Amino acid sequence: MGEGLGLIPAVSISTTGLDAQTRRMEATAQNIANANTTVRPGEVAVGRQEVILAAKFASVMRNQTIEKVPAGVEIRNVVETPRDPKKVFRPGHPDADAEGFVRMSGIDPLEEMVEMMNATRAYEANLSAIRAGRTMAQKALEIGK
Amino acid sequence: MVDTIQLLQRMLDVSAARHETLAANLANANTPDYKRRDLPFRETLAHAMNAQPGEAALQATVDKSAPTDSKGNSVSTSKELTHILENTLLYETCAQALSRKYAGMRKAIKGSN
Amino acid sequence: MNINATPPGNRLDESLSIEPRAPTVVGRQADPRGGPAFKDVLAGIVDQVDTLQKDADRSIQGLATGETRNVHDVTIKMEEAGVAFDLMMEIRNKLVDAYQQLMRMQQ
Repeated sequence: MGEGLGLIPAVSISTTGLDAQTRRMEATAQNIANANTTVRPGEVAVGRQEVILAAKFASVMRNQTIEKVPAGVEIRNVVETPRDPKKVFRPGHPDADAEGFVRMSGIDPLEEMVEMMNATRAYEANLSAIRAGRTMAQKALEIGK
Repeated sequence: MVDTIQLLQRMLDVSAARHETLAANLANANTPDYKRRDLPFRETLAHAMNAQPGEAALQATVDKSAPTDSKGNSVSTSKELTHILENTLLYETCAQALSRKYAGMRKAIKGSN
Repeated sequence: MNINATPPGNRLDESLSIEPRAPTVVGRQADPRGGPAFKDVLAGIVDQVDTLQKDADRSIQGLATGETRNVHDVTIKMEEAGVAFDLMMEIRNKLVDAYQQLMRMQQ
């Protein structure tokens, strides 16, 4: 597991945050795309993709001992949580059942929009952390100039 | 009388360590059950100034006063960003002060002509 | 991270104090009145400057190996090596000046 050059403080940690939020944004985009799809008779409704995150640690050798240090966040899993389909009255629709009801995906577009805003904000926060680290490194380089 | 140059060097060390902790908090802003951690600056600095060579630095500890949300997470993104901002400013100030100290020494050395 | 690479006591301070370390040059006998031979003192300063420069080099290599945790470690060590070197050069210049004055007086 490459730690990379330690030039910008904590850059690898913040990068794991960027990766995690990017994955969340991808999952949310997928969910939004599936939100307005119909469920054919006999098919199982597509659930919403959910990214499961966990704190990441690295084992580092310091002072002749092995330490467990925080290394950011990691994507533990991406799961599909089922959402029950909604029934919408649309007689004449090719996927309508005998009573004229169509099953629509139970994914809530509003919930996904909130999730997207959340992930975007978190992404930008990690970016700010990297910028702060870069400022620190630049200032350190100026020692003695 | 504390040696200012050594003090400034240690402050840079502690500030850099705190930045790592804060960055890890931010990365875990959405991790369920994650509790934010922090380095108490003065205690860590005092420990670093008095420590023996090879002695490990103080580690970041869980901030017990931070409120948790419904998923058990206690990170507030805006608060964390504020901490990072303050900490960065502290780091820059120390680096600048250290730089001036060294420049002063060089001037004193050369200026005796 | 290891905050305690340097023991208490500033290294730069140590090198700026004119105390003899293990001399690498065997100069003439120490002054019978007491005190170290000046040649040994000079050799000590050169040694300390050398040590600081090696420290700086090591921290730069540490960037490549990942041993160095902070950029400021590198810049601080480089600066300290530079200041010690400046001091050494000034001492050398003063010695050369004094020697030349002495030569002129003897003519």
